[in-house]
Amino acid sequence: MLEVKDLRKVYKNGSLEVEALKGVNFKVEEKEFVSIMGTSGSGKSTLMNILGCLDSVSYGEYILDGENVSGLSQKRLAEIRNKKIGFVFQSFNLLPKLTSIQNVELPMVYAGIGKSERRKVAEEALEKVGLAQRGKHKPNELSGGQRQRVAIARALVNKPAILLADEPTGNLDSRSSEEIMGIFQGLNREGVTIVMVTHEPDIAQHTKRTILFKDGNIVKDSIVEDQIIVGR
Amino acid sequence: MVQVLETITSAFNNIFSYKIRSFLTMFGIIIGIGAVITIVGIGNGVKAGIFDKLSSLNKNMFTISAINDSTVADDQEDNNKKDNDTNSDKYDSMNKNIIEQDYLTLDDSKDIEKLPGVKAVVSMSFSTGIVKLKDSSILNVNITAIDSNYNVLDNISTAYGRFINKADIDNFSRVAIISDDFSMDVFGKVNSVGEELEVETKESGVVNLTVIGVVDASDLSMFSLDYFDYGIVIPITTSGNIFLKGNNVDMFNILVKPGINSNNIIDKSCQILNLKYGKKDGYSIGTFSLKLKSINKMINSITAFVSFVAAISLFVGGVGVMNIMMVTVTERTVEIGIRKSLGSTSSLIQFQFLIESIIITIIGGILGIILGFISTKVLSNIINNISTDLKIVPSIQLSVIIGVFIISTLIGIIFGVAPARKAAKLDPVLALRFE
Repeated sequence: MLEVKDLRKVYKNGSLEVEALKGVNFKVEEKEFVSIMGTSGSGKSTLMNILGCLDSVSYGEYILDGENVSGLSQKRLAEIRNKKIGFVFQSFNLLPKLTSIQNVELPMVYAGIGKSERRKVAEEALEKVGLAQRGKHKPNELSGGQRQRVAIARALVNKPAILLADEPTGNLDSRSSEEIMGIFQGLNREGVTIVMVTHEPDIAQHTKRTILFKDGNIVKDSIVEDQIIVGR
Repeated sequence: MVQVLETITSAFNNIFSYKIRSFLTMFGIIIGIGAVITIVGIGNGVKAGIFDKLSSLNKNMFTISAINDSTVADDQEDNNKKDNDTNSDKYDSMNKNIIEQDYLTLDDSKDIEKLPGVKAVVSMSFSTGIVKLKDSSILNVNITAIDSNYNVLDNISTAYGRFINKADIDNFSRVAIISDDFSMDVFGKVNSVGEELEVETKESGVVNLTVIGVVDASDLSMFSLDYFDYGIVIPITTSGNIFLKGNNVDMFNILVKPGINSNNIIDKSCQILNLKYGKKDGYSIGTFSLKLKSINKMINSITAFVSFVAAISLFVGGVGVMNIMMVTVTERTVEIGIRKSLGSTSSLIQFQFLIESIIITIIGGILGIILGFISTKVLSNIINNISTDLKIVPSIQLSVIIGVFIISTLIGIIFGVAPARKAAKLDPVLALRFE
């Protein structure tokens, strides 16, 4: 599903070069639920941006769904972000002027899907995250947990190969965090591959596998033994 | 296609969700376009008004005026001196002739009138005199001398009394026609027929003229307005007498019979005069089309100048749009990041901001057209109320509206490109992190 080989990322700040990733190798198989952990500055956010095709690779290879992403054109990268990747951000990143359903429709707009089908798929997605009644609300009329659920619905509508979540519970209280993790686990059971960045061990505890980063290197890659299952 | 349509919809939503800001952004465009429309509307109105007035004149008329300033005579002298010396006696006598014969004469008018194709020649002379008004103020007024056949050019009906007739001409009658407002100021009444008008002249001292007719100034055509409005009109022979011009006159108005090419008559008339005085190009010719041309030229140059000012205002308006769009791009950095992360291409982002500035300038253009229509209407009403002798008929051609529409679109494109490119170039990683 996803594989990185000897992945390096170097940031140039004037004459100063900072190596954020120092040759990372790992593989994520289909239907996995992986958490990436590490302190700030460990390189996990850089990795997330690369996995999300938002940032380019300095050296090494990134293969997503059988396609080598490193070195593709900006236009093709936009298409990959649209069709193969679903993003969930810490700060939700909903467009404040659009209603929930319009936010959820947005990736389908970029995919060129017609209005009636967009509406249908978006309604289904909102129902899946339990917000069928909130379609006409704007983000500022929703709670944090509800906003994040809208964002998850938005991430799913184009049936991406992988769901990338960057600190999805970072702005949420513990009850909402549990809710979100429950939704992720449900999706994962339905076959959605999820890679999630977090620095909270108890959130990582909800996933099946944890990769620990430190100073741009993987220091630990282990199966979660006593996984917390929400709602069962 | 879906992307393009949705982008346009969202551009409209963005513009209308910040109504005041959008309105202020388009303000420069509104003013600029409004100014252009007003200038064109009023300019056309003035042109139409003047044309309307001029078309009441005889199009088959031309004028011959003697150029009687000394420089021409001097030039003539110089030129002649350079000529062959053997004929010097002949030229000398001719020079003398030219200097003495600065004027056209009533006899010349009879010669030209004899030309086939000429309907009438109306002689005129121009002088000034000083008149004391009723309120004791002193006024220098124009005194126009006309022939009794003036009515061939413009049929004037007097409000009171009669017009100058053949007997007045033959008898050198000391009579005058004045306008109603002038009569009011001099005699304190409109009907001053029979009153004596005292005029002080340089040539003959104080002269008494009997008022024989009063004309209504508001009834005068543009042609006669110059002579009759707040002026004194006297017989041409009387003028020769008072102003010591004798048989000499300043101008011929030559009326050509219908269907005759007036250029031919112009050439023949000049031939007659040249033969008589040996003076080439000593006359200036005035025709209807020349007059129209010079007026059009004047209006066009005024229009061009004001349009230039309007163009500057449009440019400033465009810069205003660019400025706000730049700010908008910065404000919406996170939105751009989100859209890119969801799969929007850079070109679609660029299109989104470009279309927003185009919509702003087009709406500004439409509001400007409306403003222009209103101000044209208001301004022309004001001008028509103030000015009695010129009626403005404002008109704005469809081509101007289409042109203005294209211009505002172009402004949107030209000044929208830079902000749109700035938006398109944003790095999604940095954009998402932007606070």
